Amino acid sequence: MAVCILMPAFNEGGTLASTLLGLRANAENFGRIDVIVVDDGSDVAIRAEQLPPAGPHFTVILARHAINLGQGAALETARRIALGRGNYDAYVTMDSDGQHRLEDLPALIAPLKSGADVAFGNRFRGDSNVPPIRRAVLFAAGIFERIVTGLALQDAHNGYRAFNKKALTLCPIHQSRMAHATEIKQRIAAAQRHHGVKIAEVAVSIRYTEESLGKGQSSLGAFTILRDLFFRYLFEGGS
Amino acid sequence: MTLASIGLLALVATLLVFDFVALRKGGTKILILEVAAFFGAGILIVRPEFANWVAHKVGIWRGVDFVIYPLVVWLFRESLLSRHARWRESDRVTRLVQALAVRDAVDLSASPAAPRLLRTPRRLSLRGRTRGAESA
Repeated sequence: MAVCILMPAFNEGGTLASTLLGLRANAENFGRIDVIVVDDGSDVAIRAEQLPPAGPHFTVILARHAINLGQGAALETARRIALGRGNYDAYVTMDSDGQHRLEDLPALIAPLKSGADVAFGNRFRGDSNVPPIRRAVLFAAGIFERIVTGLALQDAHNGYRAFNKKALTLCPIHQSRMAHATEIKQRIAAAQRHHGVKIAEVAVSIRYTEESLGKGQSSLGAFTILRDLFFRYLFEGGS
Repeated sequence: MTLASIGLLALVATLLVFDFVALRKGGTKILILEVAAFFGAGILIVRPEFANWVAHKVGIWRGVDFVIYPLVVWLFRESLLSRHARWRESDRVTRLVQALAVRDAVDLSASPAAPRLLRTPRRLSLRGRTRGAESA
C-alpha cells in the first residue's frame, strides 16, 4: 500500500524530525510512505538536512510558504503536490507536533481498503486525555457543524484523516486558517450527497502535551473560526 | 458656543493636525478632502441652526439626525466594501504563495547536493484551484 502523508509544519522544532523518523522506521510495513511537509513560513525555515534522508520505502517532499498563511492553506498546498504525484492508496492529513500517533495509522487507513472513501479520526472513542474545557468546546462545535454540514461526526475537529484519491480530489481547501476543518466536512458532506462518497469514523488517541496545548488552538479560537466561515460565506463567489 | 461645540471643534482640529502630519507625504488629496469635510462639519458645529433649518425643510425633526442618518448608512457600506477588498487581496496573496510553494517543492529522494525541482519551472497558475471540484 502506498501512503501519502500531508503534513503542515509551523515552528515545530524537534517534533517534526522525530515524527518523520517514526514514519520512516515503519514505512516498509505499509509498503511505501511519502510525506509532504509544508513549512508554513516558519521563523527559521526548515532545511532538508534537518529531515531524515529518503530510503527505499520512504521519502519527504519539502515545500515552503514564503509567509505564514495558516494550517488550512498549508494543507491545500500539500494536497496539490500530492495530487500531482500520481497515485497513492491513501492520503492522510497528520499533525507534525506528535499528537497524532503512528500506531493509529493502520486503523485509520483500514476503512479505505474496505470500501470507504474518507476516514475521520475520533478522539473520543480512543484513549485520549481530552481536557474538560476542550471537550465542551468540541461538543458545541459538533452540534454547530452537524447543522452546517449535515454530517454527524462525534469529533468535530480532528486533524487525523485519511482520504482516497477520489475524496481528496473533491476536497479543495479554501479556508486558510483553522476553519478548514469545518470546510473539509462541508465538502465531504457534499461529495457524499453528489458523488456517493462513503465516510467512516475511526477511534484514535490524541496525546495532549503542554506543547500541543500551548501552541494549538485555544478554545477562544472557536470565535475566529465562526468569523472566517461567515466572511467566506459572504464574500466567496461574488468576485 | 456651548461646551459641547467647543469640545467637538477641538476634536476636529486635533484630528486634522494629526492627519496633516501623517498624510503630508503622498496623502495630499486625502488631506484636501478631509479639510473640506471637516470645514463643513465645523460650520454645522458652530451654527447648528443651519442644519436644523435644512432638516425641517426635508421633514426630519433634528438637524443632527439629518447629518447622522446618511453618514451611518454610508459608513456601514464603506466598511463592508473595504473588508471585502481586503479579503480578496489576501486570497490572491494566498494563491500566489501556494503556487510558488508547489512549484518549488523538492523531493529529498533526489540527490541532496543538487535538489531537483519536482517539475520544470513553468508559468505560474494562480487559478490553480480545481474549480471543477468546487461545484461539487
